[in-house]
Amino acid sequence: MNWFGRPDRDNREELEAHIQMEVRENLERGMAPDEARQAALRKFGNALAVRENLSEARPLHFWQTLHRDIVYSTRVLKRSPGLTATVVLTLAVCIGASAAIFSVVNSVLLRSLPFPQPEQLVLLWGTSAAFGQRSQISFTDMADWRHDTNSLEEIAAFQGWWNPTLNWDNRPEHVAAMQVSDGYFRVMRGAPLLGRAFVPDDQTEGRNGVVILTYNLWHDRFRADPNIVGKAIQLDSVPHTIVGVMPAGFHSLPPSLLTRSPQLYVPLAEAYDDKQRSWTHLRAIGRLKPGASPEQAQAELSVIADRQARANPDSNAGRGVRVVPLQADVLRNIRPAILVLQCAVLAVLLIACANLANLALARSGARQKEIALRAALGASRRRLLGQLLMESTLLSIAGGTLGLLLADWGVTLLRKAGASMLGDFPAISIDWSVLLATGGIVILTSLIFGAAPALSLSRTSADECLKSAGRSAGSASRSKMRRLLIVAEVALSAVLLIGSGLLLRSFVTILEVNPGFDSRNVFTAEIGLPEAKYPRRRDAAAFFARLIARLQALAGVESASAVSVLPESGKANHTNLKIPGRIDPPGQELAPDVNRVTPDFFRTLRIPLLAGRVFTELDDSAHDPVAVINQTLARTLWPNQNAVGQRLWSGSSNSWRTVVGVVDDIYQYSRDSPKTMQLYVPHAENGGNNMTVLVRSTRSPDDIARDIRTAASQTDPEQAVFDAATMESVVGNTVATRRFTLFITLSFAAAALLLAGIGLYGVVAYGVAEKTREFGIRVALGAKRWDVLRLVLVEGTQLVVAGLAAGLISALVVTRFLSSLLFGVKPSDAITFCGVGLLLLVVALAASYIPARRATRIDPAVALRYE
Amino acid sequence: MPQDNRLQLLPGTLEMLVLQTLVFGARHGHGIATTIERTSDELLLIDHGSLYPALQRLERAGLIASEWGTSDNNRRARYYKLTRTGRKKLADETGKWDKIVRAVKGVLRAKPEEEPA
Repeated sequence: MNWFGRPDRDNREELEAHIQMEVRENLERGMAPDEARQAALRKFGNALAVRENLSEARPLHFWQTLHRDIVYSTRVLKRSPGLTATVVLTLAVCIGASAAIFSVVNSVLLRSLPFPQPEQLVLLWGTSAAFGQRSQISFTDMADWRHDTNSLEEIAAFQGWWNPTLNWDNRPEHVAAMQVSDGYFRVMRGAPLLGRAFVPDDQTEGRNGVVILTYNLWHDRFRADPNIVGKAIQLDSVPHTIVGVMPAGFHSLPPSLLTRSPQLYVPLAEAYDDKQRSWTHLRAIGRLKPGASPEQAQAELSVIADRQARANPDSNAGRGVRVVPLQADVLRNIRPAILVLQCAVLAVLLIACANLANLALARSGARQKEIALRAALGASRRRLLGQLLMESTLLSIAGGTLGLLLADWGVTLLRKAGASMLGDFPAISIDWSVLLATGGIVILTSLIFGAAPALSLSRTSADECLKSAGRSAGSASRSKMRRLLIVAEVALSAVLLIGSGLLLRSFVTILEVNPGFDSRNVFTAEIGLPEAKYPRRRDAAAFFARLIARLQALAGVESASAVSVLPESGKANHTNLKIPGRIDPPGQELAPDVNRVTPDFFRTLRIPLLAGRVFTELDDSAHDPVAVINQTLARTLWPNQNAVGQRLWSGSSNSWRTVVGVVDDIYQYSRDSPKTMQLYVPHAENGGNNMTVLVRSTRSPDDIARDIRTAASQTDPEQAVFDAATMESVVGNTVATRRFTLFITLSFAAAALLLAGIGLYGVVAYGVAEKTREFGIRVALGAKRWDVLRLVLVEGTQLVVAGLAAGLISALVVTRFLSSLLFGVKPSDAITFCGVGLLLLVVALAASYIPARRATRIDPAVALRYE
Repeated sequence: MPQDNRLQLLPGTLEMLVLQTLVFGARHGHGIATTIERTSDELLLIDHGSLYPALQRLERAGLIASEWGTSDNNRRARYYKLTRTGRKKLADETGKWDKIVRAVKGVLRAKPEEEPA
């Protein structure tokens, strides 16, 4: 037996041969040739049916039918290229964009924590009225919690701001070091590749000269030497012994907690003033015991913190603890943005599905007659359904493939845009589950609506369809459905557009906020002087004084200075502050930002001086300590008096100072956060080994960077410069996330508008086509072109107005949730709402205009004959 | 009309008749049909069209085998022949048919039964 059955060709031949033989016999019996053939055929029965029966019994029938369907469907689709292209593009854009965005979102959300069981990791922040809910803690705080906790299996403290010079093989190099307590590797579940992790002994002064390398550093700098353990290196001229190397899979904490990715680990030594309870310069991370929840840990640690506050009122009064899961903390800034993006994608997805449904309904209306005819000719419902589904499937395959390509391209584009806008962007690739999900939704929609005509066949009899002239049966309900879909599309687009509009206005408003200084033409570079080489304050003061002098002597340099923390960098050092006659309740003491600056700092950044004077070279350790404060601090401390001449005590330098000047406020954090109190002290008097150099010059950034490096090595040949950047890019980083979100949301809004426009165009165009006879009659009865045009435009506009109304009302509700992302703009901002309304009306007019013009060109004579 | 005199074929018997016609040699479809009609004196009504599905069923069941050949008017035609399985099946079916015929004849010729007293 032949598995594939006989080809249809063979059967046909066989049957034809049979008929021939019968014809021959009939001829022999004396019939005329025509009669002979007819008699033979009659005896044979219905040849086609026979062949059908024969072939249906074969196993290959399925494949033959499939082939036939594919060929026929392709022909049908080619006959209406506009419709086909629209559907395929809609599918592609929808699937591609959604898949790309969701891939990015999922990568950002999921890959930010590449640790074993990351859900158990929690950050332990200090809280106080002065320093806020996310402040740092002291070593003794951490030790107390660790000693008394039952819900955490291990706690460790860390700090990531040491950038020593690594010296090995006589090649000095700046590296990033992370200081950790001995529990750190247990918390992060990292087992060393070579050697050992830290032990409690390493944390004592004198025994902390040990270091653990990261895999990358070991591989790159030490050439993956397997005998590296036990060798000695120099960090900031202090010998350290390598005791271990971490494996390649051991990841460091996210940069938002550390400022940079560490290349080696050193122990937190208690000599680093760690016994001081009030030295809160550390952060803590812990791992929950299996089964313990963050809430349990919070309750427990709060009790412990309370106890410590009561036992040590001087240092711990008013200080509490906040337990935050690591993931929540890392994502706290971008979570709202991500939610907005997901909503935007969802809106576009819905609009695309509505468009597809619309297109399918339009198609079904037009083909009702064709289907009825085929049914009357004997096509079974199953076969009709199969063929229509084949059309939808072909469209889906085409759209899906194109969508895949678009998704890939979109992910690449997003990766580039994200990297340029956000800097630290994780490597992202297409998330296949997302692709399948969005692809599935969209394709399912197209299949369902594509097969609608065959499904509706049972409701209308073939007879009716064939007899009716002009409109086909059931078109009224179809029409209503399509209009409803368009109204929904317009409403969704309106919501999306309004959301983007609000974000756009917020962004523009932020950019227009006066930061308090002039960031143009200013170049920055960080320099960290090793403690070993510059142990005393005046050593650092001397270095920077010499360096600044060198820089100021260069041609094209207007001014140069140095500051301990850059403005608008999102970071700050704080200090306690007291003034005579003012008592603050414990835990609510003033804690302004404190900055050490060289005298020209205010001139370099063009920060306006409001009263008194700025620092001069005379404000050094040989003279009385002075301070400059900003206006916010002046108003807080001395609201009705002149601040110049007043005395204050600063905790960071433990000294009384005289205020000599008041400057205007600058933003230390981003421009959408409140202005902070700021205290400036002279660098010459206070020292400071880690400073950022600022140079104002109109020369190119590359030239300036080179000059700074040259000047630095002239001042001290061993000194390296790092993190060189223009001030504008530093400032730009604070709005980077916002800009990225805006970019994507606007793209989606544009896509939604385009899709809605296409949908509207489709509906109006088909409406015109359906009403061709009606228009023909009108024109024949004397209607002018303008009347016809008006009719069509009015219909289109009606739909849009309805959609707009629904959209505006929904937007009022929805935008309330956006308020955390808005700045300077109300969620019900009138300008945005009106603007979007106008935009949609214009689009509606444009989309209706083309079919309207076509309507006016209808020749009544042709139209009346058209069916 | 001459066709009114024809008898309807009982379902299942067509296959048996086809097998029988092939006992003495291979035939093509047309030949099988005309043989059946001839040997039944035109009494059996066969829809030529339903012959072919029956032939396909028989071939699928392995009772007959087919191959292309040339007919007497030099046309390509498919010839069917009986297989060994087919021969055996024919014998079975013929035996069953005889039994049925005897049984039916018996009932039809039966004298009125005597009522048990």
